[in-house]
Amino acid sequence: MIEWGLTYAQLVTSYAILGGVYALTALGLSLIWGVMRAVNWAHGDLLMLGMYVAYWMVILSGADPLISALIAFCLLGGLGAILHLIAIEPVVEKPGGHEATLLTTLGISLVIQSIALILWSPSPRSYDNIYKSIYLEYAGIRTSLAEAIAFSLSLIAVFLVDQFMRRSRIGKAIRAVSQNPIGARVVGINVSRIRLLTFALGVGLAGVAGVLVSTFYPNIRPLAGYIWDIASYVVVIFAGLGSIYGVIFAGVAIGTIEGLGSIFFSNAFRNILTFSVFLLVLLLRPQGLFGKAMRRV
Amino acid sequence: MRILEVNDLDAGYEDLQVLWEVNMRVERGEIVSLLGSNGAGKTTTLRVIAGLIRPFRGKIVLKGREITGLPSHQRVALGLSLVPEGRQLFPMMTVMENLEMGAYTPRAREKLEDSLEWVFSLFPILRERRNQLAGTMSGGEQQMLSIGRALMSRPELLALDEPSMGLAPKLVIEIFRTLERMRKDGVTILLAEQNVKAALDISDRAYVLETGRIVIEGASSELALRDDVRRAYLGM
Repeated sequence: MIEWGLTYAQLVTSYAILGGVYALTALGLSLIWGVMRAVNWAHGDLLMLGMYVAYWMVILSGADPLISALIAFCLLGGLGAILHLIAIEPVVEKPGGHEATLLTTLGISLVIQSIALILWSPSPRSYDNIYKSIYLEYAGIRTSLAEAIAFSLSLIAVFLVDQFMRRSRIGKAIRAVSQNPIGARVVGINVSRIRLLTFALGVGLAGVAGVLVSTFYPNIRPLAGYIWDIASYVVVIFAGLGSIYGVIFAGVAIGTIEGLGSIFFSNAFRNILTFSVFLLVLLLRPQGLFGKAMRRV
Repeated sequence: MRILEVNDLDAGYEDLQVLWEVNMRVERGEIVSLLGSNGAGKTTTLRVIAGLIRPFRGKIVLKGREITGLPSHQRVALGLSLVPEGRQLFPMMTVMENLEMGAYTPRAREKLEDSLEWVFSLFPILRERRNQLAGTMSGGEQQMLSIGRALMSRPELLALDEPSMGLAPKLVIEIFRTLERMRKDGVTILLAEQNVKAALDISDRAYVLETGRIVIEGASSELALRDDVRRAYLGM
């Protein structure tokens, strides 16, 4: 009995840790949604690119994955800026533009997946690193150092973004645009520049998440992205907009729920539980658990 | 000296033309009213002037410089601010944060402290409410905050879109008095209003818009005496 209990606790812990990374990917999505009311369907694929950044850095230069996290932030941020100029900015202010971004980002997603398939083949890869060979143990539950680092760095990244949003001039402008784009324009904010920076930031964060995941995830492959898309969207809805700590809680909660789902159903069915939660939240509390029902003034 | 000139302006939305050959001018130090009933084109005129929408045709000149194609944020930097219809505050930010956002342009940020004192002296209630979320304030307070936020950009020309909308008469008087004080402090004012009497009382000159065309213009004191204006807008 006790051993079973431990196995359960072990599984749930692993998923809860994954939830920390969900929080980071969801944060990028919710920033982008908040500022330009665009759904980025390529978010998971950009996370996948982050995984490959870490992989190739290790293979080609032996670089520590934690250094790759910074590199991926810059590379993916730059790519995000380019994608924004191609897929979002030309349509977002047109009538029906927000809906159009569903299609343009889906297109980007397909293009990224196809290029990745051509370049890197569909077979899964992983790489060795020091962090996944060290284990931490507490009350019989074992976690690799890699997972612990991914979890903590995700939360630290979320915290840093929160501070950036509260304190910096650009962060405040990002909040202003998401609360009221017309208000932002009349105070002299260059709204299209803020959109560009926000998209780049969100994609950069997806890149960081990809690197962090790659340290323990044995399944780096071109189609790895969509799993993250689904989980992150559920987290965004669950948390609601405008609450960064809500995103952390929702990320860990969704991770935990997935863990429970994989225990009580099968691993293949864990999404059913996640989506049930998702539907319940939409029905009972559409502004999310922590989101304030926002009212334009 | 002329601060704003609008020449032969045609504007609207998509394939709906709202404004037809609008011509206006505002001299430095004036209060100019833009009057008209609902749907006459007042809001569209101010939106074009502030750069929120592009005109189909025509020219806008600010301080002798053509700004027709300039994006809104550059117009703010040049000293033209809009208090938009519906206030358009940042609801989840405090009064103080809203005011700080008003001083977003580099030129305005240098004078932030100074501007805050100025705005608080014009609207003392904002000092009391500085830590309150903008979304939780009453309509009148929100209107004052919206005007205060626009002043934080240190505008030379302030355009206001129906600041009296939805406010009790006593508050309207208070806000209009403050507009006169702002003029004394060197701000030129372009005021779009449905409250024709109050607007004619404080303005030097006025334009009357009807279905997108300027149909009457002249000194406010003379307009207030004209029979057609009195019948159509003052209910006399």
